[in-house]
Amino acid sequence: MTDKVLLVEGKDDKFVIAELMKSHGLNFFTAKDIEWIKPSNGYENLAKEEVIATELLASGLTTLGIIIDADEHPNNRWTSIRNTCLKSIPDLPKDLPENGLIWDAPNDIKFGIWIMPDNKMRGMLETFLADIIPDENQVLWEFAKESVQEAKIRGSKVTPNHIDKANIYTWLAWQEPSGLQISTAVKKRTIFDRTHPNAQKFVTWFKALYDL
Amino acid sequence: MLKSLKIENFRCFPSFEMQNLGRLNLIVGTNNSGKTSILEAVQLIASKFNLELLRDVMINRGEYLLNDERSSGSVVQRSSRELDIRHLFYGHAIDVGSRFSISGDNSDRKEAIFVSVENTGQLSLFEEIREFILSIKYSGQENENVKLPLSPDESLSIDYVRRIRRDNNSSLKSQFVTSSSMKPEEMVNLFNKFVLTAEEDFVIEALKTIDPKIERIAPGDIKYREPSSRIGFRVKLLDNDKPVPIGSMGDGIWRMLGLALAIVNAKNGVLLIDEIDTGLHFTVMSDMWRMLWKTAKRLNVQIFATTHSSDCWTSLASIANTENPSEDGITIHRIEKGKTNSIVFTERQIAIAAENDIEVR
Repeated sequence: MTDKVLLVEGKDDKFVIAELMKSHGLNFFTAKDIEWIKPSNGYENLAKEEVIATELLASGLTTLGIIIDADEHPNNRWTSIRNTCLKSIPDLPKDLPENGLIWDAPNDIKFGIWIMPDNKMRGMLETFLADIIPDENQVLWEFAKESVQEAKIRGSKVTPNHIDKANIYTWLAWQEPSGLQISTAVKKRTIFDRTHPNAQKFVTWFKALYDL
Repeated sequence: MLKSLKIENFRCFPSFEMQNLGRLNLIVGTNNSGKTSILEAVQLIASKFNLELLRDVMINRGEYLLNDERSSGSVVQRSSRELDIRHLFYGHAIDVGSRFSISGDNSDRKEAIFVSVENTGQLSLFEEIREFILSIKYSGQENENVKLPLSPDESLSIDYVRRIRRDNNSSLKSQFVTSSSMKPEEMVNLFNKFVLTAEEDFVIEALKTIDPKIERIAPGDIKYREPSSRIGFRVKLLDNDKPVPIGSMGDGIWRMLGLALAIVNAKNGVLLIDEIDTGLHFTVMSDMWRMLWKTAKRLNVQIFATTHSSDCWTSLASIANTENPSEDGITIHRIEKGKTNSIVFTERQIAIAAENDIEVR
């Protein structure tokens, strides 16, 4: 029985967010500590009306949060997730606030939504991570992006909506150790700076929602 | 079938409502949230406040006083029991005007029971002596009204239970299964009601879910009356020529036999099972639910059960039909102290909760 629950799209999202928030007060030492962060298998599996309705009926629940990727059409994503939750929370606002949504749901439950990267733009978790690469590593990061563009010219089949991923994973290949998973890489300040100002809005939303 | 239930001022409930009841309802909640009291309320309204059933419930809970009747030589002639009915009322106290009610929406009608405490209306010599009457009103298909005097201790003598034996044709059959086992004589009596009928087959099918080798059972002698023994039946197993006493088999068989006999005895009525997971390993729970569900539909029984067990409710998910959930289907109701309504999980939501690790209890 848990008083807080967070629904995310996948395992990467789960561990990246957990590591990110660990440096901001989240209690996370073992896997058991973050059992309340539940990964679905992609947006389609997360955004199910009945599943969210049932999650809201859980015993002892005080807070339910949802973090999803905007992908290519942030407005559509917001409309879609809003519609999914509307049956359970009929008074959800029409617009997603720039700083993320925190809302009073029925039965005294705190409800929140954040759409990666920043509730406004297209993108995904990797887009968010790109914004918190430390300043001292910007030169290499620029080169990573240029290289991906060059790779496209030379025949890479990466689609435009996955460029963010290609950039990040190229970047990670050039770190030491090479080829770290993003959830591990986020622990290293030289690779991703969890205290970067660009992370502030998200951290503030998360802390407010989960009372950290 | 009861679609909804409303309780006012009964036991620990100042006001409580359960809606969207189905054919099989599992009631969950913390200790002391009132789960057993809800079963009692259902039984009272289904039986139209049958005093004999009420007596059994209250004696089980120890809610009675012993009234020693003494002759002039102050030798106790006999002890009669009096039901301490104040415990039926919220707050465990009664006065003139105290009242509780249990009402329900059946598929085709509304029913209600109103129980109140009134003054006898007779002038009493001494003002301090309170003389009360318990007034029981039933309204539904017919209306009935019974008034019973209470003793000076403000309790109800069991003699009245014996005297007022109502014609039970119009009320529903109900069976209450507690977490302790049925006594061997009760089991044998029940079995003898169904032996040689089609219902006997249901009973054997139920036992087969625990042990497929069971072919037949038959009641035997009950010579030694140990209260907690599992005696009175012998079992014929497939691979054994000689019948085996049922006590030689596990506790699960005994419990399952009790459930099977109880549900068959509740045909067209209501089956109430407190702590349904008692004595059953989690591996047989899905089969238990399957047996109860199949039999409930076939014999038109409405089931109310309580549990604390996680395995118990998650195994219920295995028989929840998510494709075509039925109106009179399976529900889980969570009772939370202080909330005036139960929190309901529909058949679909039960399956989702089990799959997604969502705690319903």
